[in-house]
Amino acid sequence: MTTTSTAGPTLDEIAAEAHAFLAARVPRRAPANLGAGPDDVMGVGLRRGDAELAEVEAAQTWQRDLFAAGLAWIDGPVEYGGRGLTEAHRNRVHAVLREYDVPNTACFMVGHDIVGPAILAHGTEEQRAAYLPGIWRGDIICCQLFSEPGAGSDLASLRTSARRAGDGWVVNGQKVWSSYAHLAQLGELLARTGDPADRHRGITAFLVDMDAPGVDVRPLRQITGAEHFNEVFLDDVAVPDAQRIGEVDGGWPIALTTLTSERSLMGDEHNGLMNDPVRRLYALAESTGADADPVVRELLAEAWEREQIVRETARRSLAAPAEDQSGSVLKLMSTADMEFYVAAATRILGPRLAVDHGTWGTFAWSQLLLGAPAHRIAGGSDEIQKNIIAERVLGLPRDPRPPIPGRSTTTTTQRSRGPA
Amino acid sequence: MISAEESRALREATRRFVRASTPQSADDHEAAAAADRRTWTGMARRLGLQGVRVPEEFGGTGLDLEAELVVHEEMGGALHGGPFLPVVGQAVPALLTLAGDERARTMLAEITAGTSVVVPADARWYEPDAAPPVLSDGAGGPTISGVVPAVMAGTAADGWLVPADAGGRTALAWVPAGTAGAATEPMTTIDLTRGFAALRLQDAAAVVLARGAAAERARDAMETGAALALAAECVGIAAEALDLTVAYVKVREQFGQVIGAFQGVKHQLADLYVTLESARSALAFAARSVGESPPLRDAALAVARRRCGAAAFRIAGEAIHLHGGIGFTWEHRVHLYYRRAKTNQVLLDSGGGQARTIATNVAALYAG
Repeated sequence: MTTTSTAGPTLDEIAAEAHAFLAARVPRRAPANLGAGPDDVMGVGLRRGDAELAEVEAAQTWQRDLFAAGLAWIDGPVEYGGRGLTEAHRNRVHAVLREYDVPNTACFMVGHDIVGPAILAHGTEEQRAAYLPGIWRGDIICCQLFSEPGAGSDLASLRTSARRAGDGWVVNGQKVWSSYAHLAQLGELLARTGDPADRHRGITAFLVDMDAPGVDVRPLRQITGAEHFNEVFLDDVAVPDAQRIGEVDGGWPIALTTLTSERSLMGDEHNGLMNDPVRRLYALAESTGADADPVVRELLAEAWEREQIVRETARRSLAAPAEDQSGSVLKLMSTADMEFYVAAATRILGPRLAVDHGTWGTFAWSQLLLGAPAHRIAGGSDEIQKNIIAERVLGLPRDPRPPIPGRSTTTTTQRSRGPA
Repeated sequence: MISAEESRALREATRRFVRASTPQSADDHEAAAAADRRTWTGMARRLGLQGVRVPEEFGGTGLDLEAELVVHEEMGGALHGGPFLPVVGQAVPALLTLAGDERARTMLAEITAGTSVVVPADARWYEPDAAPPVLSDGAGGPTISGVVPAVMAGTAADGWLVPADAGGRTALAWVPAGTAGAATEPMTTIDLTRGFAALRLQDAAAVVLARGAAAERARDAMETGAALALAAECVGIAAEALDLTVAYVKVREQFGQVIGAFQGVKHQLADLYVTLESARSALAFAARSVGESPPLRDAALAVARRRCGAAAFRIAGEAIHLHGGIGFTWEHRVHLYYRRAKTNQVLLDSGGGQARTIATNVAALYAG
């Protein structure tokens, strides 16, 4: 498929094109076949071992075809492998994709939604050309190297260091909670290049080759039993200066681009975290007869209500200005929704949530029970999201930050006194 | 669909007008009823708000539902107490379903001109099990008897649109104010900003606008319109109560700093903002779904009825709390939001009926 036409397809034309591509390859997504087959409630995370490798291979084959057809990166610039169309075109194609039973491509999530956008926004011409086509073709799996054991919500306190060495840099430190790092070829690293007291002003962003000597990835087993994130040890890892993104000590705005996309991603109902949870709840209540209970009916009503509201909020956020922080709003909504679905399932299942009786579609809800707590933490905890809304949307005073030596400090109350 | 810019302009014009003409305190509200009529005609002449949805051929501006809801939001935010909601939100949609009828067209034109206050009096809206008034066809023409337990803006009306029972069929009757046998009785309400009255009809002469299926359609339009308008008011109430509170916590100082600097307060307000956004989404979803299949349309409307009322009441309640003692005084207007929010909420959803509507319709959607 060539993309030389400047006029470009209409929304209906791109949708038809996507339908044609998909219909020739995969079945339509039937409403979940409730009662038989897999009963996973969570979008299945990658597993270790052969199953995972097979899943990644299938995802890569799929992604290559999608890329070759010009349907992988709809709103990306043509020169880097994108289709050069609008966000509206992208949303339309994504809507079509959701109608088909396509392979699970969760392993590309970090590259497509977090690292790719950061390279596009802040990378050099060479970096864009070197990485973006590969990221979108599925050749390059990405991970983030941001959080550290001592730097979670307070990311600006990170201590992994990058020191000048000849033409390049030497990186030392430890990163943690890096999803897909065990599969990744490329990591987006935040490292300290300045004085720790300068906090976010002394941080630089780099692209790290995950196969470089000194990079040691160790899996972390999560409470769900899955191992999809990792700790990453960086021991004298040489990083060429050409792999630096943006200015020296200028990594913070790049991290923010990334964090914002991560938040929107976490809040996006289509991120594949859950598998039709509301439809499953209705089916569960019906199959157990719990739907005769007025309390359960009320829970079912609220479950559907929540799902529609988060979807409508996502829809509205496409037109909303960035100051609305709709990513934070969406994330808070969706984490609360997840917990609500667990509570509803608990009410219906009782002990069958805790002990596997072997009945289809019952014990599977424990996946959501065990998975839900992660989502209140990942991508900025609930408390961080609330601070963002309070400070950036409502204009309330910022939380106190440690003073920066040698700079005049402005106290919180002085800055914010009086109506904004 | 109106553009974002038109929507903003409509919102701002409405806001300026209604805030200038709506009393700010509980005492003022009690004294303000007399000024209502002047506001009503001014609203029509200066802004044409009553005709926001009325097609241009009947003198209106012919905008869409989305535009109408913007106006209701602003009415709610200002706690406007006039008959705008029942007339524009309820009567106009009903009359538009009857626009083939000369009398309905005349009423639409008069509403648009601000010369007539046409108020629906639907017994079912306030008490789902209430028996509707009974329409009898006598030799001297139709008459109507019965009680409508509560009518919003009932005493301000130039007449009432009354869904009635005509021998087992629904009829929509028009009873002009002043008709012998028609009397209103003002009621005591928690909402100090808006009046309700019982309407008592005893062999009152009535004009029958529609019978049977046409009357049912008009009544459904009335009910849907009222729900959307009330839900939109709730969004306006919620937004205004939150704004008031955010402004207050930025100036109120305790422990040497503004209270809005405490995380306990910041996070509470962030939660309320998410609640407000969820109400906005619920309203947008319901408004977007009015043309969908009945199960989806009805479930979506029920979502707005539940969420918008609950959001307004929660935010208004927390607004009082975050204002501290001053919020619990008669003179501070924050309690007026609390009163309006609860009134709207119980009109939108009482007795869990909307949850049942959602559960039943969604089960049908999934089965279908």
